[in-house]
Parts: sequence; structure tokens; C-alpha cells
Amino acid sequence: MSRGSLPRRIAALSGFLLAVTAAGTLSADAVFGGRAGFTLGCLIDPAAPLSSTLDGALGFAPVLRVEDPLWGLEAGAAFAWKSGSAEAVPDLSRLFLSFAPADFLTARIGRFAYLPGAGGIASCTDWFAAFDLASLLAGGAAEPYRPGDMVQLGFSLGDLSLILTAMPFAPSWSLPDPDSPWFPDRDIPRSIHWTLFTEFDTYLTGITVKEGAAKDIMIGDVSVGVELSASLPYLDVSLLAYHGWDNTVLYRPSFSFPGGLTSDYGVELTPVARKIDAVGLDASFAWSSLSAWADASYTFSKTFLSDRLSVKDLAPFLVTAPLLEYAAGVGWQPEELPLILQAGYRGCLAFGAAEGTVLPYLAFHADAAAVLRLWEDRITAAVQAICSTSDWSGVAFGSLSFAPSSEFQANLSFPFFFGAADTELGQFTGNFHVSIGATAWF
Amino acid sequence: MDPLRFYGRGWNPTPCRAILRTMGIRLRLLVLPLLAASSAGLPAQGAETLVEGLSLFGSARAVSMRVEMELRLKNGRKDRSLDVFLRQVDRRTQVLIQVAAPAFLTSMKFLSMRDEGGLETTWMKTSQGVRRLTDSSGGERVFDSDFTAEDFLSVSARRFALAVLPDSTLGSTACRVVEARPRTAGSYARKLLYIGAADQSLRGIDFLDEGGTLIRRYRLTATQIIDGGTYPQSAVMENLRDGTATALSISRVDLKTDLPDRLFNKGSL
Repeated sequence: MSRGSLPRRIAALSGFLLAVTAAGTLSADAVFGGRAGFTLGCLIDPAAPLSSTLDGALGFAPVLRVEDPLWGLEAGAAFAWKSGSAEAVPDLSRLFLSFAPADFLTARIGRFAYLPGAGGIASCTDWFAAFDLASLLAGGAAEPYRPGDMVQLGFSLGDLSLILTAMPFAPSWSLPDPDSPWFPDRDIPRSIHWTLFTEFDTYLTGITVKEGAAKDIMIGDVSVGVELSASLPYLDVSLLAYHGWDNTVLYRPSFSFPGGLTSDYGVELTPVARKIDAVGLDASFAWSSLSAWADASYTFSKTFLSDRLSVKDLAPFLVTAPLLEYAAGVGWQPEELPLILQAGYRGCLAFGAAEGTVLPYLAFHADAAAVLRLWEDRITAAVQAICSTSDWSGVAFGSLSFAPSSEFQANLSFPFFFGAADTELGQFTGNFHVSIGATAWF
Repeated sequence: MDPLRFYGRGWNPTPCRAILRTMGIRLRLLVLPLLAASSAGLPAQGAETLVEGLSLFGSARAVSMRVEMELRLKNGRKDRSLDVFLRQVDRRTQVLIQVAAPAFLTSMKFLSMRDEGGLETTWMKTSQGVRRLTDSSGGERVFDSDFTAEDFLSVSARRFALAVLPDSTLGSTACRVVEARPRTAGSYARKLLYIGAADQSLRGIDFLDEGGTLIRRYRLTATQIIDGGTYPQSAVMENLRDGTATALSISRVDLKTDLPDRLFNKGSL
């Protein structure tokens, strides 16, 4: 099978789905609608407010529901832009066809998000959606989980369901941008202090990113997953298994010293795409005004960076170890109060990992959220906080939205980072990114 | 109902009236309320039998229908089209309600299932994902309407303390009346279910607070006969506190098409 570029894949997929839609529309109830909106973000530089950078996105997500007994079609897209750039980057967020060829069977093909985990960003089993830490930290409208191009079959039998998923393409990983304010600076040393016959410092001259991750289809590189779910009294349980690409990419920095070992140096980041085999368990529970959820996943062999440098290629060693990840959370939504409270925790255990193994960002974190609805749900005020329990740094997102009707919503969001400058989230303390946006549904 | 009149019909009235004549007014005042209470104090099983299989959409074993919902707000109105799928087999009830229009709401679904033991499980799918509703979520509004999640569920002794009240009339329709008090605290203290005496259809519901003030009111305004069964044709739910109302108009009632199992599976939400 030949490799295909992203635009060609989208064009081929879109052509097929539109042809099917045209045929289905002739004999079906077709309902058209959707949403349109914009988000404008401003990264405020407290030292030089007038030099603050703008970014934004215009979103248009049409929904064409062709509800023949067999067919259904949905689509969604957004265009993102940045200040200083004349380019608008298209982003097809959703385009899929669903159909039911038998009473017990539903099928879905196209681009959509498959997130079986119950705990949002803390879930351990959302393998099919690439996770973008920068989108999470920037807040605004960008979702941290990116959809994938998949084929999915769902079998229903009483209270049981079996979902088979295949993703022929690699996830849409986001490459790091060294110029981005969300680049994790603390991971790259800005200077090296030498103590030889004398003491001196050499400095980082630049960071480059090498495109090395697999992005196109390759025979045998299909990601597949199976989910078996059961609805029990008070409890929903799912067992999952996955083989395929990890939903995050490891970036291996290698140092280069053009003028010799003691000269100023550069760093090249090489993305390392990882294949994993994993099993998982999701459970969610509801009773009275309380709800609880728990996720766990076991990856048989996961690749990590080490903090020891290889002399041969001047890059950290890669080490592998089995990894157990676990997460749990609770929620409380009293009927007599317009309030929702949630809290969760995520941790992991790398079995037999060598000393110096570098675990991924937010491997240990707690999160909490409080949502208050006022004025007959027209105003929603929310605070969501994430705290890394490995170094006690964190971020709190405040948001305020106003929805005078169910067809329109305006929102404002802003994060506050806290922690020491060399911590996971404290390194972003200077990033005050305010987002405003509006969405209209039609 | 006057308990003396009840006991006087077809019964030998002499013993009751003789007792009352001799006991005097004070005792009569004591006995009459007791007689009235006894006529209303039917065993819980009686009330449970009356509400068995009762729902807003009739009591067919399997029915699908298209419902046009008009939301009458203070500052305008909104329209929704819903597809309702209802299946009742033995004591097991399954309800799926999904938005058919407008298109931007078509991801919203409501699925509820009640097993033979009366245990109910409800999920709501919104743009934020699928969420299992807790007992206290019964007051959550469905699709922005004046209906709550609980309104689409059947009434069971598991969730309510049931009692039969004296018969009443709603409009010109004779009705049996069942009082249902939620066993968990919620947005109302009790509700009165008006069940048509002739066709056992749900004619109305009054939602009352602790002080007896009417909070919400549901009325079936028109019915239709399909295959010998009575089904709602139009109904309205009024929120008397907020001054809003939601009107339902039911069309395309289909009793013949089998409903596949996948409709009532949480995995397919």
C-alpha cells in the first residue's frame, strides 16, 4: 500500500463520504446544522505587554445528519492561525459515516475521537487519540486529545457491548515548536558549566526538530483495539486491549558541538514514535449524588528517556520497562445546588525501571474542578486545577461562559501557573494566555 | 367521597348509622376521618399495580414515535424533534430518546433501562460525552425542556413511596390518583399521578413542594387510538415557577417495526 500525504487522505476520504451522503440523502431524512465560532488568544508578556502575541482559530463544524435507518454522517472542521503568519492551518476535526448493517451491529468510519476513558485528561486508556500537552496548557478551544482516522465496529448483546477499532494511520502527533511559549524549556539545558583546567560555560545556540516519527500508513502498522463493556447495577465496566502507536511521541535530544566539545552547542530533537501493547480497565459508578470512576492500564513494554547520555551519539539512552498507570476520581452533583465538584488523581509505576528513567510529563498529578451554574444556567463559572505531585507545581484554569440561549455562548478563559521555575508546570509561570471566544449553533 | 354514602350503598346501613347516632358528634368527627383514610389507605401493592408500565408514551410493548417538542420560553420559543423508542417486556422497560433536529443537538441522547427487579439505570449523552445519571440527577432537565430525566422514567416503589388517593376527574376524564413521594430529596416533595380510569393512560401529573404549592404540571391534551390502544397525541408540561412550558406533539407512531437490541445498549450511545 502506498504512503499518502495528509491532504490526499482527506480528499479521498471526503470524496467517498460525500458520494455516499449524496446517495443516502435521496432516500432519507437529512438534517443540516452545526456550529461556528472563533477563539482569540493572547499570550501576555508582563514585561512588555504591547509585544504580546496573538493566536486564534475560526471553527466551522457542520453536521449533516442523514438518518436513514442505515446511514448517519457528521463533519466538523476548524482553521487555526497565528499572529505574524499569513497562513491558516486547516484542521479537519470530525468527518465520519455511521451505519447499522444489522440489528446488533453498528459501524463507523472516518475521523472522530474515541475516548473510552471516564476521567478526561487523567484517563489511561485513551490510546487512539494523540495527546497534545501544549493544547492542554494553553487552554482555550483547542482540545488536548486529537481525533484519529479509524474504522470501528460495535456489537450489542443485551447489557454487553464489544467495540473493535482499527486505526490504519499513525496518530496526529504534534511536533514541538522550540519557539512556542509552551516548549518545555526545563528539559533542555541552556548552558553547560565545564570544570576542566578552568571553569567556563558554553551556551545553547539553537534547537531544531527532526521529522522522524512515522506519519503515514505502513503495512503492519495498523493500531487495533478491543473494548468489552458491561452495564451492571450502579456500575459500568470496560475491559480493553490495544496494540499500536503510543498516543504521545518521545522527543530524544541529541547534542552537537560544531566547534568541538567545549564550544557552544545545539540540540536536535528526534521524535521517537513508540509501539505499545497494553491492556486496560475502566469503571464508573454512580449512586445518589455521587459518581466515581477509575482507569488502569498496563503497558507491557514502554520506552522512556534516561538521564544518562550516550557518548556515542551524545543523546540520552532509551530504556524500556513495563508501566502500570492508574487513575481515579470522584464527582458530587447535589440536586439542590447548581454546583458540580470533581477531583481525581493519576499515578504510575514503572516496574524494574533503571535509575534515572525519565517519566513523562504529569505522570503523577491530581486534578480538581468546580463548576457553578447561575442565572438558570446562563452563566457558568468554572475552575479546573492540575497539580503535579512529583514537584508540586500546577496550573489553575479559570473560565467564565455566558449562554443567553442554547444557540449562543461566549466564553473567557485564563490559566495561572505556579511552582518553581524548574518544575513541570512552574516553568510556564510567565505564560499568561487569555482566551476569549464565541460559538453559535445553527 | 362521603364515607357514609359509600357504606350505605349495597350494605346494611343499620350497624354503621346506629353506631354514629349513639356515639355523638365528637366521635363522628373522629370516625369519619378514619373511614376516609381507610378508603385511601390501599396497600402499596395496589398503587404499584396502578403505575406499573405507566409512561408518558403509552404502555405498548414496543413503540417508536417522532415527537415534536416546542419550548415556550419567556423570551421566545425553540423547537426540537425527538425520536422516542420504548420497549416494555414483562417488568423490564427500555427507553431511548434522541434528538433528531436541530442538527447541532443530534448527539444528545437519553437512555434508561429498568430491570425486572425495578432497578433503573439511566445515561445521558451530551456533547461532553456519555454520563450515567445518579439518583439525584433525576431532576436534570432533558434537552433544555421543562421535562426532567425522571419524567421519562416509570414510577416504581423502589424510588417512590406510593399511595392511592381518592379518585378525581381531570377535565371530563375520570381518573385514579396515585401519590408518589420520592425516597431521596429532590426538587419537589410529592407528585400526583392522574391515571385514566377507562384506559389506564397517564392523564396528568402535579408536582408539589412541601407546602403544597404546585411547581410543575403535566397534562395530556389529546389522545389517539392506534391498533386498539390509547397513545398520547399532544401534551404539555408547564413550569409554574419559571413561567415556561414545553409542548409535545406526537406523530409517526410505529407499533409494528421491531426495535433492535443495539438501540438500548449504552455502548451505542
